[in-house]
Amino acid sequence: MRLLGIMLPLLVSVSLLSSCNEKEKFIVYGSPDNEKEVEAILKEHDFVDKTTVIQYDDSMLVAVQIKPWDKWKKAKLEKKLQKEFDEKYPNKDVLVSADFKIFYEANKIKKDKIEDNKLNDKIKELKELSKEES
Amino acid sequence: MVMSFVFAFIVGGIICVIGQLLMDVGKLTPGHTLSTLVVVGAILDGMGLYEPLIDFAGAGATVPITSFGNSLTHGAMAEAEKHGLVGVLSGMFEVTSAGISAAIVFGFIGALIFKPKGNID
Amino acid sequence: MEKEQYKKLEQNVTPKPPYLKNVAKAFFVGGLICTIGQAVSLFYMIFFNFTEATAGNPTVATMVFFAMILTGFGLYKRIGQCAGAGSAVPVTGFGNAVISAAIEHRSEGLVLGVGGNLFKLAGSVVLFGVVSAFFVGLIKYILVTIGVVSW
Repeated sequence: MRLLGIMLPLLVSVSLLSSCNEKEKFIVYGSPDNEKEVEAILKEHDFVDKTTVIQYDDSMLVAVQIKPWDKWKKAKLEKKLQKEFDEKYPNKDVLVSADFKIFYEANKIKKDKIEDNKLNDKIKELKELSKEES
Repeated sequence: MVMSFVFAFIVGGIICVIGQLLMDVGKLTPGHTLSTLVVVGAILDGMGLYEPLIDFAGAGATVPITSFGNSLTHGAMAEAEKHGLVGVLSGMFEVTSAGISAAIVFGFIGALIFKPKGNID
Repeated sequence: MEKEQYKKLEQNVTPKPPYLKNVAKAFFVGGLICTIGQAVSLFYMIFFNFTEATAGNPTVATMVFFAMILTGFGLYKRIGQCAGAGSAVPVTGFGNAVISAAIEHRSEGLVLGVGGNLFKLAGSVVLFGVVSAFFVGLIKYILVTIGVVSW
């Protein structure tokens, strides 16, 4: 009986975690409720491997990871996605970045469940970071 | 994630193989070989081909000596875009060249703490 | 005539380098050094505020630091003997050339010994790097001004 009490939650959590790896390739986190739209834009493209979108009101940060073989064209693909997002959300301040650091930090934001003003600050911080040249 | 390491290994290895062939088949000295590779890096960046290689292979393209040529040229072109012809001269060491500075600094430090023939002073 | 004859004789007697072995060794050691560089890059991106674009600088500096340690303990020489271009082509090879020259000439003093000989082996790399960057930049500038290409 005790064994079952330990094994069952363990099995459930392990199966949840393993399915986590598969599903969580497209993450949208933040206030506006346009998850489906954003996912749709990104899923359309084959070259997008994983993406984490962080948003707060009118500020959106789209962090993508391009598939390894397509990384030759990383700069061009990033520009392409930027144009698409600018056209789709002209009222928002969207930044698309294919940089690993931005993606890693965006995932941290989601993990730490940062909210409200801190979220806005963090987004601004990351946008500044991605513009640095040296 | 793993792929980034695989590509770094392969591309870095290939650049080193090119160097080895220049030395073995081309009969160039190491000095000639490295100079040639740096020039190749500079030309590739001029054609806009080295940055995509860095995007693809990461450290496989930034660690070999070819990246010196690339970063010097990249800095020169970036400054020339902003400030015209004089930028070609002023921009070279601006964006990056941590390798050259590091080599000088660590060379100096190394000379202070190491004795020749590899014993610590 | 004698010079020519001697050259031919030298070529006939000198053993041919084992091409395939050398290429394989260069590939593996060079690839390994670059893989270590990739790990260092990742380290800087995760634990510090560097992006993919800016992580190249600290990575290269760190690799040169490793080269200093290996050179100081006389280990880089051994790697070089077996790996050829695999240890010379990465930036660690450049670092080793500069640092070993510095260590060797320390006895002649810091200014004349170290300063005068630091670039003995690496000077051509810096020279041709700067000169080629200049000409490539110049050509690109001219082409852009004419209007053939854009930045």
